[in-house]
Amino acid sequence: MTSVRLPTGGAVDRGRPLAFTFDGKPYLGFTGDSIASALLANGVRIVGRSFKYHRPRGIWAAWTEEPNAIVDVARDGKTIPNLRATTEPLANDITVRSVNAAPTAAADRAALIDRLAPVLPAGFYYKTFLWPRWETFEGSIRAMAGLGRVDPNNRPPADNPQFNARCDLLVVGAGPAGLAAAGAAARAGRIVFLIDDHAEIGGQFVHRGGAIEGGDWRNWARGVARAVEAAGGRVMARTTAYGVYDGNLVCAWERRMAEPDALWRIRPQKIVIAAGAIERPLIVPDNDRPGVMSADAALVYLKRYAVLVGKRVVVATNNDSAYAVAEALTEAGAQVELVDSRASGPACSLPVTHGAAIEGVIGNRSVEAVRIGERTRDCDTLLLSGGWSPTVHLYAQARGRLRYDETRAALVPTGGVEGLSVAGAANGAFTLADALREGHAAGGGEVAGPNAAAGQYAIQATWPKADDQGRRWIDFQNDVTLKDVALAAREGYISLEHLKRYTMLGMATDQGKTANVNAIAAMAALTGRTIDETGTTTYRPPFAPIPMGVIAGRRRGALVNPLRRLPLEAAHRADGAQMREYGGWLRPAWYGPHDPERAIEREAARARDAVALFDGSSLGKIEIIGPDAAALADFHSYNRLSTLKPGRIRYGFVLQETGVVFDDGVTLRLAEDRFLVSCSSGHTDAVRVRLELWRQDRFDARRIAIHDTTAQWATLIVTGPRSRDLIEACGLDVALDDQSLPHMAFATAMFERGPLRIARVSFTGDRSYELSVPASRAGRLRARLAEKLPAFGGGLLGLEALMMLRAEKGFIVIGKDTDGTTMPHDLGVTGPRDLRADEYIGKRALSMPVAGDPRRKQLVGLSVAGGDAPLPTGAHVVIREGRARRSQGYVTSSYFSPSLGRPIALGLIEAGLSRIGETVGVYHLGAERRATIANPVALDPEGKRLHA
Amino acid sequence: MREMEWPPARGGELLIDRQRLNARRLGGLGQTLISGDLQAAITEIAPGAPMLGLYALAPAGAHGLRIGRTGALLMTPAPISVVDGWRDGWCATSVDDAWAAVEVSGVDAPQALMQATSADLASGSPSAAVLVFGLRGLIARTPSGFRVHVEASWLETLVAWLDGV
Repeated sequence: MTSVRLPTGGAVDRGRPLAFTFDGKPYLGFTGDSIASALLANGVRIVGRSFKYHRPRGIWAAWTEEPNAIVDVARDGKTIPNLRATTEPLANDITVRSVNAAPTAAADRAALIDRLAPVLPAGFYYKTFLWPRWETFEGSIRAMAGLGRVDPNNRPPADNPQFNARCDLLVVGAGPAGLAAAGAAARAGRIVFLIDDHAEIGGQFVHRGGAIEGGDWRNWARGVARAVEAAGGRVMARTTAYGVYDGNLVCAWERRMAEPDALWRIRPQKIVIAAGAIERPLIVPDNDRPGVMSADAALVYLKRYAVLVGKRVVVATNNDSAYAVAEALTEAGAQVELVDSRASGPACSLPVTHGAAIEGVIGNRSVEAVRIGERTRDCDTLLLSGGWSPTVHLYAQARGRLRYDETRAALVPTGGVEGLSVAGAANGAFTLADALREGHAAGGGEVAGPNAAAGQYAIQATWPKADDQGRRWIDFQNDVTLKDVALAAREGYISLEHLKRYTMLGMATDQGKTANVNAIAAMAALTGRTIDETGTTTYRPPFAPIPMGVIAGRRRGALVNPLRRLPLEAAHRADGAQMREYGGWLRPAWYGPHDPERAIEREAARARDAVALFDGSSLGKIEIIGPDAAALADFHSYNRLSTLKPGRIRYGFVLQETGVVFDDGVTLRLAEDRFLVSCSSGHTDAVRVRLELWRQDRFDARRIAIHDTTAQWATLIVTGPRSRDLIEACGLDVALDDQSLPHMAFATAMFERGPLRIARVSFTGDRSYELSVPASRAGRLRARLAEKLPAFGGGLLGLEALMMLRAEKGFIVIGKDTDGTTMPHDLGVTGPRDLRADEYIGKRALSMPVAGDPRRKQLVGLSVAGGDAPLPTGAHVVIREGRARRSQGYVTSSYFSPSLGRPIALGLIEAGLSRIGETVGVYHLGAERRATIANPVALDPEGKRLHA
Repeated sequence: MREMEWPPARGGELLIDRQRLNARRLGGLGQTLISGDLQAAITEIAPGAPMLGLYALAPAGAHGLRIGRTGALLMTPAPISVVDGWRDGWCATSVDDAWAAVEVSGVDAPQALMQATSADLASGSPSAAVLVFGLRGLIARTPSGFRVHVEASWLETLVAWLDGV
């Protein structure tokens, strides 16, 4: 045991102990601990295994940049994978397990892989697993890959809210610069959101301390928070701003204590990024050993958690910031030696070796000693401080550019992002006074800002060199060493983007927070370029891993893809309807609790033999109104509509600009200047948008209006040979004889003092009437019709049976019997293409060579022998080409027709219309059957039933 | 694929009745879509009715809720007998049953609004049309909260969202 808990100090509550296990062993921590601090307090050194070589790894950092301490945490029988031990608060009775190790991190069976390292360089899998084929190895490699274990029993509730908010200023980071920015803006009366991912505000103040205006920083910080809230803003702790998107939208994950976590979408007028900086390692040999840690992290563990990370400590640095760490550790009881690569440093009472570097780390499972030049120094902990990398991720996501600053040995922002500025350590201002000044200015502060001692920070860059020897880790999480970067350079992967993909450097859960800058410098050294010339990889959201549940929010279950509801849903349910999704609506699929197949066949047979009642309310009902309505209707439709007489109906298609059929349906001409477009249920919104788009784009918008009345009307369809008898029996005041109301005409009447529209349209091939009334009257109309149904041998009709009936007639469903290439002539409708001289959407595409390709797939029927089973929908129509099969199309709809007593099918088949009578193979799941290409109209091809 | 069981749509006027959140469907309203010369339409159909933009305070009497540049939903306390069709520069269509108006109130109403829309309610807009929980809707302010108008077929989805606040 090397690290220990001190008897006093820190922000942990020693009166509230917490029990937990790690890799099966029991431990105790305190309320206020992170999992990492509790492990360190218990002397645990090995917390994980490296991704590739399974080398033992200890805790490096104290926050989101931690690359090694990734753990699965089980609580109340449910496991959450891949949590960062450094950011996860300790809780009572949790079970913590290391990842990528078996059975434990301390005794990992796969540790032997490290001995194979010489033959497993970066990219070895690209070269090694080519023969005989990748799939031979894929299973084993996939089994070894990955980190934590997904718990299939962990299904978190969909209760994460997602809030939208706006503010004058969003400040990311509540350290010195962020507090200064927020304070300046709030005191000027602006609405400020101040967010920080820690549980408390203060940033570096919390563990490094500081005095503002000669007083405790806490008093100043509390004053800022009060000012922010008084001005109508928010101070949000435990909140991670993880992404900047278009228009400076910032997304943030708030970890709430008593409520489910929340996602915030914040649209500020201005953003100040004051996210601090991340300490990077020195790239010394074997710098990945357990016991090697960030110097700043050691100070965090000491000050926040009262954990002394080692008793005999060597602090290796190239900058001033590590000196305060060394002094604090000494004061806490550790023996500390400083090794500074510079010739001189700040005044210090501790032993300091200047102009030297760590040349070796001794110890396999834990640091035992280090080599400094010619001598060996026994120690249990090596702290590395290689300088600070500004946390520029959000700035870079917003397309901010970076430049290398030699005096600060850091990539710093160049500015120039509209509405976004960077302040403090995130901008390379590494002293307290500089951070406060920058923050105050970024917040719009005009008078003097908060005052603090000037402070001191100096650094001499210590980057990896091309001839450095030994195994020197640059990316701890992905096991990428300096030699791997050199190999990538030798093989030509000198772009940082290529280096990343070749070696995995900067990938995975830490996204290279500690690795990237050293990697850029290494590649620069290896290729003789400057750091600026070498460039960076692209910064992308999220800054840190975000739970998928938070991103999904409440859009799960019924809210993933919510459905529209029919006005008559309750009546259908009362009649035993089985409700299913069709085209974005919840509709009756069939009625009754019986075997669906039998119920559907019975409904279909009853509709053919007598009469059936079907709810067609979901059909789109979009009105085109105005003096130029006919012109828009014509342009929008493949079929000309301006020649339609008022009171009449015409079926037709609408096309995409590509000539592909987009939708079909009927249009009613309500008046000279008013059309009603009845489109497919699932296409209503899209058709409305198309009409609106073209109304505004091509026509005088003052002379046309588009009104979507779909939800205003409920439509009840009465179909079957006795449909007229049924309606007449209901006493509706409308003439239904064929002369008064012929097929493809409509009439209007009154029903209970409201309008009633009866349209003679058929989707079954039988005599049919569509009765439309305002939705509030639909229940009474349905009740009247349903009451009379039994007297005529009729019944209710669900959508499944309707699908069968329309398929018997060869009536198509767009998207089912058509695909993304189907043009109207593929469906046998050529008139408008041949005859229309005026423009309409899709017209030009119909004259393109592809439209005349003789191998186009065309809609046909497919018949099989009477005793055979229906063809599977989706089965391919194939021909033999040598020993192989080639698909010529596929089955789009297939049913057993109770009316015909045999299977029927529709399909899209190459040149199908010219191949009627040809026998073809139909292939499905390894079996091939025979079918005959037929006319798509299987029932009543003469259309006599329409008038029966 | 397993078929999903969809809960029945909630009916009635009182949709949510909790201590901190209340949602009530307003019944018996007159609703008319108007387009074109909106001022002429208002003068003809509902003289004096104000035309409201985003999150404007809705009066108890007749008012229009602007939809984009050239359309509006005219709300009246009771249905009006307007003749559907085109007039001189404007048109009207009765849609008394097409839209559901839901009044939301209670302590959690502001939070519901924050979840419902990303629109800049403080700055407002000449158009009251926004996405509300992803649905095409109109938003007006009321003395005790806010009112949402969505197509009636989306009412159940709107209530499901509100119920989770």
